[in-house]
Amino acid sequence: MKYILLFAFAIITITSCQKKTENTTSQLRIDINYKVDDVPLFKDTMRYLNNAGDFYSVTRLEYYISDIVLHNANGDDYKSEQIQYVNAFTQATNQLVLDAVPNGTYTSFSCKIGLTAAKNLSNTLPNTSENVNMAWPDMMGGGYHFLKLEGHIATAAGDMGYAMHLGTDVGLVNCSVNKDIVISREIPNYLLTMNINEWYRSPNLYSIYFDGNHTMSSPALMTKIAANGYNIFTIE
Amino acid sequence: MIKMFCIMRVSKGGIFILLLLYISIIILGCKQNKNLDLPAINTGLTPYEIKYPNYIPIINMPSDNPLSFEGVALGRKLYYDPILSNNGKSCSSCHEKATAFTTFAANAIPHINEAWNNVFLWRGGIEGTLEDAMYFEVNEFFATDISKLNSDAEYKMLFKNVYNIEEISQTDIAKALAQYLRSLVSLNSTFDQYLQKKTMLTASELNGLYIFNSEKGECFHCHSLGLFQDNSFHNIGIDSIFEGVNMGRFMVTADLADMGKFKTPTLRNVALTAPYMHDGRFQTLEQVVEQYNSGVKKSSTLDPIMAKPSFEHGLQLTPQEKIDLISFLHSLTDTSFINNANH
Repeated sequence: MKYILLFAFAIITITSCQKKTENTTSQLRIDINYKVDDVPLFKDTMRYLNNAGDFYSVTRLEYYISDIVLHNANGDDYKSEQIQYVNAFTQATNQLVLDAVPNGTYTSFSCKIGLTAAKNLSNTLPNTSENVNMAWPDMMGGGYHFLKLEGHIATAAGDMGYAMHLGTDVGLVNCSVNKDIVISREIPNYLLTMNINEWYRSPNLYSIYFDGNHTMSSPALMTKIAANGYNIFTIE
Repeated sequence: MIKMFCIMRVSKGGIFILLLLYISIIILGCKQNKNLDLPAINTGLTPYEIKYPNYIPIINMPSDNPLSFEGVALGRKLYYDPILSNNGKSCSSCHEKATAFTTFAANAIPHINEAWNNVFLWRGGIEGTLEDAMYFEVNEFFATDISKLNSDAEYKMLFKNVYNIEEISQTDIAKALAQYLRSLVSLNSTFDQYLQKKTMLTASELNGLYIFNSEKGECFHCHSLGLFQDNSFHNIGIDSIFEGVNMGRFMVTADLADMGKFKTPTLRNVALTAPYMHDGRFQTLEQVVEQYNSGVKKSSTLDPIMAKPSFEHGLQLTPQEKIDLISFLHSLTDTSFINNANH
C-alpha cells in the first residue's frame, strides 16, 4: 500500500506542473525583409534600377498581408484568417506569427497583398492610426489601400515623385512561392523576402516614367502592377 | 487486534487526507497568480473617458497618467496660469480657445486632438507622448520655476490629490498639462454630424468633399479623413530653396531627405486657425488653396503625391471648385469645441 501511494505521489509530482504540449502543431514565425534584386532596401538613401530603366528610391512601403495559406501535397492546407498591416520601415510590423500550424512539410506558400472584396469594407479593420491612414476613399470604391509604394525617380528634368497605390478588386495581389516548408518545433522561423524590382518586371515590364508614376485612379495601371506581384516574395 | 485495526484505520485515513492536501497544494501551486495584473491602488479619482467614433484611431493612453476629472481640471488651471512662465505668459497666451487654441500672432500649432499625436511641433522636435511634449514646454520653453508652485498651498493640495505627491516636479506639471490637452477633443463639426447621418452637407460642401477626398485634390493622403492629419512629415512645395526655418524636419534629423518637410497639421477648425503654414505666410484659406492650385514648387524632396502628371500645372481647380473646397473646410469647424465651458 505504501509503495502504491509513494508511486502515486511521484507520478503526480512529475506530471502536475508540466505544460500540456501539443506535439502535432507549432507556432510559425515569418520575418519579412526587403531587397532590390541582390541589394538591401534602404529608405530614401539609394538609387535602385528596375528592368524598365528607372532609377528610383523608396520613401514609403506599406501594405496588408492576408489570406496566408500553406499548401500541403495531400490537400491539408493550413489557412490563416490573419490580416496584418506592414510598414517596411517599421520593424515591429515585419513579423508574421502563425499559431498552431500543423507540423509537416508544405509544398508552397501563398498570400494576398490587400483584402478580398468581402473584407475590404470601409471602417471595418480595427481603428488603429495605420488602418485609418490606409483608408481608400469611399467615392473611389472604399475599403483600404492594399499597397502604398512611393518614392522618387531620376529624370532629365530632375527628381520626380511616384506613388504606386493599389486598392479595390483590380488591385488585389495574389502572391505565391513554391518552396518546401517544413513545420516542426525544431524549425520555427522562416524569412520572407520582397524583391521590390519584381513590381516592375514580369509579366508586365513597367516603367514608372513611361507607364505612369501614379496608379490610384487608373484600374489599368493597378492591374499591371498587381499582376507583377505574383512572384514578389521568396522564402528562405 | 482491535487496537492494531484502529491504528491501521487511522493511518489509512491520515494518508488519504495527506494525499488530498498534497494534490491541492500541487494544483494551487501551478495556478498563475492573476491578481498580479490588477491595479495596485484605487486612487478614488473620477475617471475621465474620451469617446470617439470608429473613423477616429484608438488613443494610446499612458498607464502611468490615467485621465481623471481632477487631473484635467488641474491641467486646465495650469494652462491658463502665468505661474508656469517667467514673463507673465501662460499657455493660453498663444493658444486661445476662440481660435481653436492658437493665435494669429504666434501661429502656434492649435491644441486640437493632441491626444492622438506622437510627434509634436512643426518639425517634429518632440517625439513620444503628450507628457514628453509638455515636459519640453515646462522645462525648456517656459523654464518653469517649480518653487513657485511648491510654495502655493492650492497647487500643493491639488497635486497631492491627483498624484499623491508632497513635492511638485516638472514631470508632475507636464503630466497634469497632458491630461488637460487630452481632453481638448474636437469631433463634433458639421462634417462629423454628416458622417454620423445627423445632418446634410450643402451641395457646395459635398463637392468640396469630393475634391478633398479624391484624386482631384489629393488632400486625403496626408489629411486622412478622421483626424485630418497623419502624424507624418511632407514637403508640399511651398519652397524650392530651403534656408533657415524653411529647412523643416532637416533641422531635427540632419537628413537631406527631410529637407523642407513639416508635420501635417490637422484641418479640424482650420477656418479658425489662420495664419497658415509653419511660418504663417498665408493669411487666408483662399491663399492656401491657390498655393496648391498653382503655386507648387518642385524640389528633390517634394512629396511623391504632389508629383502627379496631372498636377504638373497645379490642381487646376475652377473658381467654383475652389469655393467648394473652402466650403468643405469650413464644415470642419466645431463650434461646440470652442464654446465648451470646460475648456
